[in-house]
Amino acid sequence: MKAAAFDLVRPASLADAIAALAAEPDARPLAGGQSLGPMLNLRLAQPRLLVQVAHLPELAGIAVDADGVTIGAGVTHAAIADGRVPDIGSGVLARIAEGIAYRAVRNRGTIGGSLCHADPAADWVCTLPALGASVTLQGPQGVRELPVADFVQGAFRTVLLPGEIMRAVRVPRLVEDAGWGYEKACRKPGDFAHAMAAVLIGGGMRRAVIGARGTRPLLLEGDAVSIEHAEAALHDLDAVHRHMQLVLLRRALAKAQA
Amino acid sequence: MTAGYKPLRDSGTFSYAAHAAVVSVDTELGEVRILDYVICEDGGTLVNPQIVDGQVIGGTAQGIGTALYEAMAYDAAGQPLGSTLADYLLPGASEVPSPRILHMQTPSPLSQFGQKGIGEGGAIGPPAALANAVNDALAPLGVEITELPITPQRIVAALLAR
Repeated sequence: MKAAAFDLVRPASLADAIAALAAEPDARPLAGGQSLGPMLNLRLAQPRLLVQVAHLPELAGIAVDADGVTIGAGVTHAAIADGRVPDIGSGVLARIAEGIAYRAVRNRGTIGGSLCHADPAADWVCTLPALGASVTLQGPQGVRELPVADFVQGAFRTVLLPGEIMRAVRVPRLVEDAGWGYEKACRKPGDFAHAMAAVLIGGGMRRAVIGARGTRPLLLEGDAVSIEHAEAALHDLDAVHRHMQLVLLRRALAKAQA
Repeated sequence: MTAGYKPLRDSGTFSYAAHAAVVSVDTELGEVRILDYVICEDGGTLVNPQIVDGQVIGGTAQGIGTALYEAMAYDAAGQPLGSTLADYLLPGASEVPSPRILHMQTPSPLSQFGQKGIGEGGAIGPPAALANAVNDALAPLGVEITELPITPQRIVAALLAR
């Protein structure tokens, strides 16, 4: 199928992009287009206006300091997989990026686009809350920053307000003794996962995230990072799905504790 | 007046094939991996061996799809659930092993040069070969899969139902 008719604008600045989005209620920002593109073609999305954002200089930067890295929302998965973003420890970000879909998708898909699309089975949607990442949003009302865990509200649902665009993702550096585990199960490489779990343990902190459950990722912290807690929290899943999620959580825990 | 062509011999020819698969099954996640795959084909006299191998490998890829991936599913309202190639899974390069192909060349007595049809054998063997291999792997756990495609979900469901 082909997309329904739409207009496309390529603003020169973030301010212009925000203004274009705010002026048309039926507008969508377009970053790498790796999810929105197919949705347009299937006519699952039929916006009147697409506002290109991936090229915006405000979304392109990568900055590093003692506490972590700030990644422009328009940075591609491929750039992260190729190590063009400084490591936060153990090559974690590059390894996550490398496992996203396949190279052609990684070449165009962006970290910010993936978060804003908020597919429950997306790699960044599951891993960034576990890493304690936060996002910077900019809109007509100004700039705000919030944890990724609060940004994604449900399946394909975020806290983004009309006209608001994600500008950057901030990922804190791993503490010295941190252990990380990320496991996902897919029918084929490149396919969306049907079960996934990410675990970060270190500096007296424990955090686990279970994704691919059809809604916002499940975040467990502290003593709640256990198979028993997860099993109770996943009671609404069917037995097979729950079993797979718990297997991956157990494997991710084992890796993080190794 | 009608003109036609009737070959000297015009009966059908039948090739024969045997498929053998070695698989590993992750008994926690239900994932099947093909470790080795051997095909023995009897295509009679091989007119062009390279084309024969291509037909066998292509057919086998299709058969792997039937065995492990492809399903025309519908929801309760009759909506097809496999209407894109993201939902209707086909085996790709990473799912199709390089099969080892052995040729027997028993000339057909029914064709002019001893050749036989070669197209079908590849696609027909994999569902049985892979299902048997998976069930052989699962046998110690007392589980048998009797439905295609053999998805991770079906394997885990069978293991949980024990």
